[in-house]
Amino acid sequence: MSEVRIIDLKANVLEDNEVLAAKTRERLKNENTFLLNLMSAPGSGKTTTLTRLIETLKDEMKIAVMEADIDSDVDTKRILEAGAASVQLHTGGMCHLDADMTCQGLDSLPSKDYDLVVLENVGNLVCPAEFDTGSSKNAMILSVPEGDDKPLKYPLMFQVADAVIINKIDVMPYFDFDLEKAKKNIEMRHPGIPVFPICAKTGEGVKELADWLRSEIKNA
Amino acid sequence: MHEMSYVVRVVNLALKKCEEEDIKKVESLTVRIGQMVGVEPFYMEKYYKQAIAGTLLEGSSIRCELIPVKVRCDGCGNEYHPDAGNDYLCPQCGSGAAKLLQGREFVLEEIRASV
Repeated sequence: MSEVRIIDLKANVLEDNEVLAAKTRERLKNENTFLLNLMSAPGSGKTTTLTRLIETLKDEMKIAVMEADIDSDVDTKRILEAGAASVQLHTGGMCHLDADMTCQGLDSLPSKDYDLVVLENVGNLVCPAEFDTGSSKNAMILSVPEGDDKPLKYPLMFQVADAVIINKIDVMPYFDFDLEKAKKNIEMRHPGIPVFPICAKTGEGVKELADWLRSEIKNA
Repeated sequence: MHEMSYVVRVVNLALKKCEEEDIKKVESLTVRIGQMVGVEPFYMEKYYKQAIAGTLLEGSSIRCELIPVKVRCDGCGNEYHPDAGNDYLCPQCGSGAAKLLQGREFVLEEIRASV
């Protein structure tokens, strides 16, 4: 009979990612670059929201966008047209970005040439919340057609976010979406978090969102 | 959904440890997973078999222990398990604000090696 030896490890499986994420935050601080990690479900309007933000902020700061897409450069073209630099991160089917992939993107820009870098994460409300990318702040977009109950179904996403953007408020009358209920559900998950109702298509509410981002960059 | 990403990390960590400890054959790994991580043991086990093919872990199994989510209420200090049954609110005072005590861990707990 063979003997069994038990090796007691208690090793944090995500430790390598967390160490690299902390290093990345330190590096960004030294470079005076602010990294915003933008997360949402597919089709919530990440790229349209970004093009609006770029239009609002491009005269005061240098902006670059890192697009995480499974395999397409459609979004990159729209970002370039809006007036920011862009790099495509091909995640090869991964459902999220980790600190390693983020670092590769920052190196290729390179990030020190920019004041604001936005990481457009993979469209998904589950996995991106799990992996620290090394970002300065996290924002998430909840769009009206997704429903006001999303904070209850995806609690971690709303906990790791530093701001919630509610997009497509122009179509609220056509959906069973209660803005006050959504705000209450968000508050339940993350007390005190700022919430920005916007319509990226018309630009409504984008000014307030840009003000928040500007002040976060200033205080980083 | 992101099980493969975790499996690869677990396997790499275990292989590194086996090299350090001069282990040649492994019976099983035990991982402890917080329920907030959103990982399904079924898929962990399925992907594990694929990930260990051709490594010294081949033939071993992975045991997943789930750790329930536990929080401490900001309002009254009560410790509870938030779930659909209590609407993710404190059963004592009704507040939703709370500090997470456990439930986000992903730990490679132990390696059982054959000697």
